Amino acid sequence: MTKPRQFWKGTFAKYNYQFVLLLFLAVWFVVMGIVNHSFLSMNNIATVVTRLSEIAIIAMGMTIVVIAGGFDLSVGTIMAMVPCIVGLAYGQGVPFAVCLAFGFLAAMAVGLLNGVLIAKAGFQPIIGTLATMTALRSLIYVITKGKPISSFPENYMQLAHGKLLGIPIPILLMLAFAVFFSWIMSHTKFGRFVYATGGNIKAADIAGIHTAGLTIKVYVLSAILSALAGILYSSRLISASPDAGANTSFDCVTAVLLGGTSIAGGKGNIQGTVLGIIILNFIINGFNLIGINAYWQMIFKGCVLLAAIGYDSRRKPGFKMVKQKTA
Amino acid sequence: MKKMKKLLAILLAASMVMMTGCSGKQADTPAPQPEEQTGQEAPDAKQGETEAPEAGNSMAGSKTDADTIKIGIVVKQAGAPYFDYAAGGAKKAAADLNAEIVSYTGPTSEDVNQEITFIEDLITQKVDAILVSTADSTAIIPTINKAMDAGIAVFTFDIDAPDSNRLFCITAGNAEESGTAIGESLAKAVDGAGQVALLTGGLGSDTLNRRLAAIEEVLADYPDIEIVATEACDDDFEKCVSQVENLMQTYPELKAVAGVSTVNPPAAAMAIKSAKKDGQVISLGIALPSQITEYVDSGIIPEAILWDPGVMGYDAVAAACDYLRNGELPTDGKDYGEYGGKIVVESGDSVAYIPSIVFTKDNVHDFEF
Amino acid sequence: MKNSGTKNVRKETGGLLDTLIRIPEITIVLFIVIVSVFIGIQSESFFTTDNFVNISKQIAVNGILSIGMMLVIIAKGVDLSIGSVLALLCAVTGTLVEQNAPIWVAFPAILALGAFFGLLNGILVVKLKVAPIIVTLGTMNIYRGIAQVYSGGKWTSNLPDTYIMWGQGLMPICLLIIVAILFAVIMKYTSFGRHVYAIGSNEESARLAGIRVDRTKKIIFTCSGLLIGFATMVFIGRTGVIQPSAGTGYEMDAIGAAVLGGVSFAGGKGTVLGTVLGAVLMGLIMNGMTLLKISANYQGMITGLIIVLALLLDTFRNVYQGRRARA
Repeated sequence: MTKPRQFWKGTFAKYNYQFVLLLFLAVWFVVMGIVNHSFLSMNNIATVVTRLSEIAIIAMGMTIVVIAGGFDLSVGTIMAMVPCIVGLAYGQGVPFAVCLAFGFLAAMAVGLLNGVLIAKAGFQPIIGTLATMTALRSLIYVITKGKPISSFPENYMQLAHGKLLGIPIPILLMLAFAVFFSWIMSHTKFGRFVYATGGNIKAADIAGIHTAGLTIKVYVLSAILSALAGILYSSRLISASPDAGANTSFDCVTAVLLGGTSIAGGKGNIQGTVLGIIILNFIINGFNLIGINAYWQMIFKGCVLLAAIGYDSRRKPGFKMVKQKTA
Repeated sequence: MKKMKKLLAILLAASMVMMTGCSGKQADTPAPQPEEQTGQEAPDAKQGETEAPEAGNSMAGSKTDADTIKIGIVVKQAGAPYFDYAAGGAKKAAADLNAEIVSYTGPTSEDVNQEITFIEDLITQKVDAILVSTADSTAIIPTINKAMDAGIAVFTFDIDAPDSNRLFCITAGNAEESGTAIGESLAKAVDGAGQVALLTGGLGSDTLNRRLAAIEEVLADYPDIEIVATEACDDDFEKCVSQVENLMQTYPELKAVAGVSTVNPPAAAMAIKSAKKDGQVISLGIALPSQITEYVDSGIIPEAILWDPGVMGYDAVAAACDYLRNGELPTDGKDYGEYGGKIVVESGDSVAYIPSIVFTKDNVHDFEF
Repeated sequence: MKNSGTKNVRKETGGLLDTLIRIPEITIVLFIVIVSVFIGIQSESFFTTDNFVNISKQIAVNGILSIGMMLVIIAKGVDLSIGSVLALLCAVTGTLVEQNAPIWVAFPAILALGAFFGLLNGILVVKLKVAPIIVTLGTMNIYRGIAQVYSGGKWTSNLPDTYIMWGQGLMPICLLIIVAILFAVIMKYTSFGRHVYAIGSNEESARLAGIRVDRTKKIIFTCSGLLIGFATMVFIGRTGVIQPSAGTGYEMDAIGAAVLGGVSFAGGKGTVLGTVLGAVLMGLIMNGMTLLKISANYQGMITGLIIVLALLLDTFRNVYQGRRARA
């Protein structure tokens, strides 16, 4: 048992976990690039990054929720709900800006409900958001009668299909959000409070942080980001499907955890999550290109998650206290 | 900490260089995709229905018999027996016609977004043809059009996306037609009077909802038939069993349940059998014969409707090969051989029909799917 | 209704309300009574023997699974892989049926295999030193992938009666009761049971107190797997087919039942009785939806609402109890 231990500590422990993820990504790029020539084409990379930007935006909200010690299962449902509301309202002749406002307000209301149930009524996050998720999905079925909605303005699709300076708009949005939220998390009082609340909620309370309010804010933020992703999603498809986002919450959590955020709260960062999303999506893309089916992909994704997290936790004993992300 | 960041930066830069290096090596660095392929072309989507595809698509007849045609298949749900049989048929056709199924794939649960991912990756792979059974006929349109613009022959099968630029659809009938067939079979089975209940898979499934609406439309002509409830089981077999148990409890006079997802008829039949209500309540709808033999034999399922998914897969591949080699789209009465059979195309339409099959006691054992 | 809480309660000399409110399962019992009366008033088919037999069959699978889930949650974990393990066990049963394996071979084989997959989860949790939610998120993907790849997605129909009988008549509820009593006794009277609570309350002090934490965790996951084996046999008996895509989302149903029954994600708290009652409530909701002729589109909203109300009631109980204790 000692030999592998020393190997772990000696060889790898000095590298940062996210560095190893990046290394994995690089190796994956090289291997896949050799196996399949289309993998490294700019076209392919742009396509993959464009489509992962929606889920990355949701996952950023999820990261902040998880760092704050919570969990949000309702993100996929909010992502489905918002474009349905926007599309339905627009179909009724409501000005588009008002429709968007409706959509975002509805999302914020759900986020608020999540936050209140968890912070004020003391629900377990997983069960509180499960309840809102179940109720919301049924609400979508009621308002849409199960039919996809496609009443959107003429140029609505420009949002997801358009380009600015030659870069697809979703990618720009994702990058902007990534930079913005990593700054928020590392340089603002809000960010520090989120880490503190997730790290030890009692201590945070004693230190004078209004943890209940903070928790509510975090869930509202997650809902807003999900709403935004929903807008991007419906703009890409020019359609809002009542079934959208069924697997989104688990996909996001997988990426968040793969990125090194601790499920116990108090530790993690946005960059890691984005990296996690990128890895997961390029794994899927690579496998698609060489024709490996979805079930083998599931097996491989599961193994990558276990290997990565297992490595991360083994590395820790020899690497204590070096980096203190929580402030 | 700083050192680490530097390392990250270096590695990132290195991988970028590698990426561009590799893609540069490729002879055919992909030409910049026509921007905004999707929206502008939507209005002339109907052009796909004319025999000759729009200018710029030089794929018709671009292949010779010696070329192996690369085909990708994307279905609503990979791993569902129905689509596995369809893929089996497609592989058979590929073997017969010098084609290669480079990928048969789909989401693990119905999800149009994942379907789009798969299609985009098939475009990257530069396959010759893509066959799609879509989970959402509207949301898939931009992606199908994108594939067509990239010079890939797109055929839909099973479930159509009629407003897209796809070349042709090979199906046994759209959701409305299969729904109507179930409705008529239901009305006949209950002699035009009595309580019936409808069962569906997911509430948000476009196809299933259209099928349900078609059944309701048929039954509207029978004033004595009352649809007491419509239950959705999310394609969970056990949940469907429970729901039918509860339905029989709630409506003691219930005469029949009809299902629009293949899970429903066998699950309903199981509930009827274990409640020992055979003879009182019957189950019917869309079902794979191999999953219902025992219930058809015992009379709980008097008849069920489907078509041979294998034939559908076979004909879709055959149609794609025919188009790429000879530039011909399917025509009425076109014969795809012993396995593929003849198709029906109504004039001016871009949909090819394979025959539906009604399964009864007499023939239910004759099928492999 | 005998239960674990009553003995301690007698010592207190409060009013009847005080006595009742100290019983952990009181809120769920109250809620079951309210829901039953409500359905009973609206529908005369509710209070009938046939309907109770139906409900008993419908709750059995979830009931058995949620007892396993309860064990894991009490030890401050969660098992997201149960639906996937169920699918994999179904796939294996398919092979056994095709090989004409008699039931006295198949049943123990499935139990053993279930226990083995559970043990694998446990070993991963212990060896990787990773939160169970992450490990089982990984194995959830892996097991489901394997189930599909192994079986090729093929269903097996026309099962022998010896397989069907486990899901017919009163057999499911008998199995549930046997399993429930067994685990109620284990949790209350064995050192293993006490260790599970101790680990959930405080893992570090449990370790210091000399409890073999790692071994106990492995046993917990093994038990959860074993119970999935039982649930699989009932499931197959109920459905009459073998379906390798079965069990999607079952982890959430089991978590729901456990939490409704008073099991806390904070660990160390929860009873078998409460969990089974939680499963009963979920079964009642589903039964009531059809009996009360509620449209399918609205069912999710009502489920969500009832979960929220039931948990709110529990929150009030806790708050009230806390106030009395302080007074």
